Amino acid sequence: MKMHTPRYAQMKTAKWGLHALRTPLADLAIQLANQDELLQNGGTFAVADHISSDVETAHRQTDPENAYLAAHFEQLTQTVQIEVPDQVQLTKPLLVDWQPTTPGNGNFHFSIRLGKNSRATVIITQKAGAIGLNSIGEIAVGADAQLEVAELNLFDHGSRAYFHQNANLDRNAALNWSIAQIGTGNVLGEFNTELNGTGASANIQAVSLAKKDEHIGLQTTVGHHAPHTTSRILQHGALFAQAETNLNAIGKIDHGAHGADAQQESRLLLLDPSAQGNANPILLIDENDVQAGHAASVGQVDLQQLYYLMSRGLTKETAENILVRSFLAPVLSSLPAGPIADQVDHLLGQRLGGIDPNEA
Amino acid sequence: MMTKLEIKNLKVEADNHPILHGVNLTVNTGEMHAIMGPNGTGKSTLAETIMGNPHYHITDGQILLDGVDLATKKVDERARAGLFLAMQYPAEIPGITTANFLRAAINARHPEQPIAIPKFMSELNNALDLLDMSQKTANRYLNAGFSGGEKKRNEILQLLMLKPKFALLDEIDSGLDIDALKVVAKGVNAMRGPEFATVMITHYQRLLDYIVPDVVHVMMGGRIVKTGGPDLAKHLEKTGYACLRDELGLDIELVDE
Ligand SMILES: Nc1ncnc2c1ncn2[C@@H]1O[C@H](COP(=O)(O)OP(=O)(O)OP(=O)(O)O)[C@@H](O)[C@H]1O
Ligand SMILES: [Mg+2]
Repeated sequence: MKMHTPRYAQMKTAKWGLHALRTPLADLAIQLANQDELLQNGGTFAVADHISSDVETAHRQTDPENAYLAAHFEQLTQTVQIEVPDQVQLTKPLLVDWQPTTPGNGNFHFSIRLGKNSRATVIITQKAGAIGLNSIGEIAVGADAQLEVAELNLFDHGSRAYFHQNANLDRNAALNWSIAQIGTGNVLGEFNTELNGTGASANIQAVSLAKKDEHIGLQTTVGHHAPHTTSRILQHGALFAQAETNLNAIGKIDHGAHGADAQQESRLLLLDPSAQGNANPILLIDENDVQAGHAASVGQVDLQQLYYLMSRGLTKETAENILVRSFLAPVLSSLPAGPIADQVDHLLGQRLGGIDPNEA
Repeated sequence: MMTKLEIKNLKVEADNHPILHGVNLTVNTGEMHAIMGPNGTGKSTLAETIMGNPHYHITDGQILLDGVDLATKKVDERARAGLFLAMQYPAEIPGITTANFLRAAINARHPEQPIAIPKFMSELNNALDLLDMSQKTANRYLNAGFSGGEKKRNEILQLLMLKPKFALLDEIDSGLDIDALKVVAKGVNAMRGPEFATVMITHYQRLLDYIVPDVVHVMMGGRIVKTGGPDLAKHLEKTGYACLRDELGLDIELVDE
């Protein structure tokens, strides 16, 4: 078998420095919070030093020739395990916060398993050191269960990140998955959701910001394998001068998945002609009785809006920052309310610079 | 201190289409001016050009603020120098609340010394009260989904908060019900004073009953063709533009003919 570097998002990643993700590993500091409720209900929320070979096999099968995935599993030292038993409804979000504490590549893994008719929110905050990180994970949502996952990626300048995360949903399970990529650095990510049970549904939203010399490639895939499954992919990215972003949205509907509904929207806002962006909608449909829709756009700032804001005395930079926020707002508003939304807002303000209209 | 805005022989085109053919107008702070004129005559073009809308190109003439030519100044610099335009069609900006937008706009005027939040809030509440607007409006996204009348009120809210020296009001009365018209007039009248001037563009004499102007100008065919007192507006209301044109012996075609 010939192994290859990840090749998602139609990106040429040779220049991204992703090979650094195979360099010696960093120690990780992993913090968990709000465990009590889950532990009292007989669940698991812990850092383990191994994962079961079944999980590894299942994950690697989704991309067997992927050299980065292979390296991740070979080098795996720590993994966060979240097991929510059947019939448990958690009221507080489970918080996972991790970062490398020594120079080197951070190799992070998580597994989330939600039992039947349970309900939980998991918020993952990840930071990278100077080198970068792998963030690989599996999500399983049991029948009639509802899971919300939000990932906030706070990377330092020059970091690289590689994501490969898979979710599987049973009958009538619902997943609301948010990925906020507004730190600095290069990111390549694949987020796959398989709707295996009748009536399963997934909402997946990704928001990204790229500045000079930063490259972002995100590919979000949903597979509809059962009748009456629904999905919505919403991806918005803003790009400044000399940045590059590629957003792929892929919806697959199997033969027999009648009544399925796959919707996707990928939009990029280019703030400078030197930014390069692609938004690729892909629908692969093998069933007649379905609904599917896609929207994709790569556009510039609305000059009328820019003029209006500047006519009140705002500099072009501040006006553009407001329009970036405005553009990202539909995705930001679907983040879980509370600290993560505030953190994202704060980070956006920091990264955008100029006068931040949302800062006190 | 009095400030002077002078428009001298201003000629303007948009997309190679000449619109203004030599406009002369002088406005000092402390004065209230009104501009009336038929549709398509260049009133909005004049206001937008003074404000610095990049869509319009000056081919001749000058716009001077206390003797300083504004030609090379961008719209945001003009705003910070004291110009304000309440637009005929304000843009909608979802994603930022009116309150946050206003604070950013105030702070843009003195970035080294941001306005204290309590001071800002009390000014905002006073302005909202004056305009019979609810706090909720200020916390909604800027103009997003606002009705025509709500947008106009929001323009006046911005006027009150930003305290410009020269306010150009482009059809601030259009689409307003009679109560809203009174409220908007109250807002503009509250700005009256030696440090403030307005140029109101309107089609209706009614607005001028509530905001009484010192000077009324009539624009036709890309020029100011007549200037007078408040009586001029009343006279026009009776006789119409065609009559005035013929009186002046002008060779201009009106849109409605
Ligand atoms: N980009 C453009 N290209 C061609 N013609 C234009 C352009 N912009 C404006 N015009 C024309 O210039 C003329 C003046 O327009 P303007 O909006 O200034 O009129 P107005 O006096 O404000 O009219 P109204 O009372 O209807 O608001 C109109 O005939 C309009 O169609
Ligand atoms: Mg007009």
